[in-house]
Amino acid sequence: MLNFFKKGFLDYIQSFRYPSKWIYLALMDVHMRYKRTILGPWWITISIGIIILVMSLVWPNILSVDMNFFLPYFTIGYVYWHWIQTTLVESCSVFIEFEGLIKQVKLPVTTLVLRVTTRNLILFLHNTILIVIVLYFYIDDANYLFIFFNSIYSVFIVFVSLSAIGVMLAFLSARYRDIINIIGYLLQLIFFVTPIIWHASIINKIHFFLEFNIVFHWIEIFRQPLIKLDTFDYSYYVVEFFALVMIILSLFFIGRNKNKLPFWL
Amino acid sequence: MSKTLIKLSNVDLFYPIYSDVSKSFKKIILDKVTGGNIIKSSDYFLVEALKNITLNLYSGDRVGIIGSNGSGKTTLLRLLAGLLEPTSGSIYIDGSVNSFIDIHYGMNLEATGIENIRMRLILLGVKYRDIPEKVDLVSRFSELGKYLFMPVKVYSSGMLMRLSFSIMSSINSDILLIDEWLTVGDEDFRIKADNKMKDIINTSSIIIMATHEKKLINEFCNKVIHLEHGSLIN
Repeated sequence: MLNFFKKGFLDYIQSFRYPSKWIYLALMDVHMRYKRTILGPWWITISIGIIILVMSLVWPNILSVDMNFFLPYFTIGYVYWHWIQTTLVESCSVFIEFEGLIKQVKLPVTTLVLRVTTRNLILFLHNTILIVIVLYFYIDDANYLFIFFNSIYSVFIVFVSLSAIGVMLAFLSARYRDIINIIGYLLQLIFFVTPIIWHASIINKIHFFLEFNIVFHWIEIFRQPLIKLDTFDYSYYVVEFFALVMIILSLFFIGRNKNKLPFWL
Repeated sequence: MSKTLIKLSNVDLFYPIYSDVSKSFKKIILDKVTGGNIIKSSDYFLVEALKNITLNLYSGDRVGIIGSNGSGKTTLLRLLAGLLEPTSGSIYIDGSVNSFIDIHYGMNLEATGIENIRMRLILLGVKYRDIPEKVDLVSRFSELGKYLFMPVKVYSSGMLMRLSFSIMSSINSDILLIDEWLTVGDEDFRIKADNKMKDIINTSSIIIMATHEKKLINEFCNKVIHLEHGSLIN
């Protein structure tokens, strides 16, 4: 048991000793994916921008909320959600994608997962331009320093959690090829029960789907300070605790399954 | 001369082979629901690839591994390369390892030759600041010229081998693992590649070569390991 954790821990340590093995390759991946396109990674930014525009024409009327509230609220929530979603979906196929590498080069498994989560972070950073634009028009007079550091902290802690979950998903879906379909379906479900289009106050009382929905807390700590709303009192604790649990679980996963990985591919 | 660099004690390695069916949830759930009545076979086959291998190698050893197909030669090399881990027993390796096993694996077909060189060198642990110089070296050795700026997917298999050989042979290591002597490229390049191979063989402190060619064993090796059905026969 303890051996499992030690093995997982060593795997992480090796990844952080050679950060260029994932950071540089994540950049290469982004570059490679949008080769021969004119807009490159900005394609996603534009398509998200269009979704936000069209949604902003319809949903404020359905929900009868003010456009000035809806647009920044939805933009932040949706851009953030898009990042979470793509990271989780792509981390399912990490080991399948890098099968050739796993059979040829000795690499820590976390290096491969971090490569995928980092490339999604890079794409997300492109998309944050949408948030900046919207905030520029709709929000004035804020504590910019606090907002800035809060955003960085939120993104960091979510990135850590996503990477740890990514490790587990990658193992699971290398073994059971159904997982990727299940995750795709679950994420769709989570999108509808999480306050991204609608605001949590619609539900009035604190609801099961909010309290036990980690995605809700992830979005809360990032979005609410940006639009000058209060977060749930305990959201930060939930998110930090969750990240810690996921890291520990991922250590166990690595230790238990790393040996078997080559046979699953 | 006598420093132990590789030490295997009582190493077993079992290879589970999963069929496509066993990779799915459906089967597991069906097994649970029906008490295993419907689908009876076990979850996977177990192949005993290596059995009770004990081996000590010292610097200066040039080891040839012989044995029929499927006797575990490549598995043993993969184990030494750290790509597989033993099911039981312990393995200790002191020093850097470079392996010539399936060297064409893991290329990014969409990326150009140069990009592949760069990515692979980073993954092999070359320091970031040494990359430009090393890339230059590799691309000159490969003699692929302007093809290096084209995606690898347009390469012929010979060119792909040339590229991967050029990358792998640019890495210096203490321990060198070779799975069959590679014949790379056309006449001219083959001579060059052979010379390069002899070069790195001479600079590595341990060589382990799996081959069927008696001639190569006689030429390069001072020790021979005979593997049969995963066991050592001396």
